[in-house]
Amino acid sequence: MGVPSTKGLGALLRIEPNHGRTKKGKHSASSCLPNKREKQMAKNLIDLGELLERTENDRELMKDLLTIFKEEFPQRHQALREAVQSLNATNVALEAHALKGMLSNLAAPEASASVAEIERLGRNNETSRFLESFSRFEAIAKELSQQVEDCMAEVSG
Amino acid sequence: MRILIADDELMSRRLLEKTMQRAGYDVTAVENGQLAAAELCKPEGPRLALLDWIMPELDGPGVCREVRKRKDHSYVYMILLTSKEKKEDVVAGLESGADDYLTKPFDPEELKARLRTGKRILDLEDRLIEAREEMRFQATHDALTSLWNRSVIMELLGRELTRARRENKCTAILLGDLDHFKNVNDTYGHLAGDEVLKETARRLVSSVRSYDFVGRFGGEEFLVTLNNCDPAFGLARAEKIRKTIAENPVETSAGPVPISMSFGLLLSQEWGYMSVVELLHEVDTALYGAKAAGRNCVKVAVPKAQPASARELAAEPAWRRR
Repeated sequence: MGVPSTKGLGALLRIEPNHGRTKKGKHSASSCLPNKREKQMAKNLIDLGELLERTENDRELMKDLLTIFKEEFPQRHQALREAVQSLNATNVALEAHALKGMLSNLAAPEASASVAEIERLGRNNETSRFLESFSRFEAIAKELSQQVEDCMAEVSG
Repeated sequence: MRILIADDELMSRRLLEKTMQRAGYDVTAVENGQLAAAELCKPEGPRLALLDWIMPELDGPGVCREVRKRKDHSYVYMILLTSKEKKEDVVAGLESGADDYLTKPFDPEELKARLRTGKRILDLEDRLIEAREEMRFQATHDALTSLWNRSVIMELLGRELTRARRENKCTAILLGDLDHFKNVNDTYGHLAGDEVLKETARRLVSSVRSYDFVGRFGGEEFLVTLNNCDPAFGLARAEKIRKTIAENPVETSAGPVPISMSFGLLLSQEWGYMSVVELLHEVDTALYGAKAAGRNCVKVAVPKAQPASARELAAEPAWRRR
């Protein structure tokens, strides 16, 4: 796994563009592997290498994106929750799609995949599976929110 | 170059905006399809667009369809951004009028490369339009003087006469011929002769109003139509033009060349329903009169006194007389 933890952001942000990267643009294992302690702490929900690449190593832009995410995510999350609770398949698909976009932009693949599954259920009107999938997503979202806070602290620092 | 970004999702919009600004684009960002269509349909709107597929009010393919409905504007190169990867979705997107599509989340380098492709296509379109306009100009203008050529000035005269008759207005037709132009060519050479023709054209254009027409009728002959001209001032205006032509010698590469022009003048209101060719014949006769009278003057074509029956005939449209 070459994906760094949020704790490794400081190191990542110091990497010059294209230095320490593989051909695919990911950061090489030697430059930013999470240490053992970090691995034990939490699963990485944000692919920082990907996020840095997407923002072209722009620290200010990263900060902007994290700020927008912090502001918008709770509202969208709530909207999805309400759609799931009311078993409104159209709204579930719509809100899940919006969240999927946000999470993709944040380079949060696991969360994005989880909400994509909810979107799929909404589109297929599989209402009986809404709650189960949504609880899985909620667990991920909770951890993700914490990691976004950590990221934000690093970027702002 | 200006680019429009349309995405209802704020993070996406911010990311795209910054990426495009960094790549040197002048960015306009909007949050729904209606605003995107309105912006792209403006006459001077952006010619590159990145459109999210799913948007409120109007989706990306809907924006493409709106933009493609307009035929009278420059081409807009549109890229759809989508998380839809199914073949039928891609086909539907391109069928709506999009030029390309990119799956989200996008890779900045790939996006920039695709936009460069768009720019190349827009540049090509600009060059084609430029070439078409150049051909259009060449087909309607005289190559030496850049005035309207003979066929166009006659067509314009025909239209103007029709309009003048309909509105009961007068068109003054002025046919001018440079005096002793053969001598200019013989004495100063053909290059100087061309320079004289060009300067004559410039002086003619500068001495008429923007809505009058000036054309090169043949070698050293020029046709001027003074549209909506008060008949009482027709001769005075023709005299003013004549004086402008003869006022100063033309500075040529062979030295200063004094010039003058003889004119035939015809005021359409006095001639009833006559064809363009017939009127031009009359004005040409007047021009001959000016030449015979010693050149550098204006002679007015005057209708001959006609018996009442002939006048009635002349007042009828030509097709009735056949």
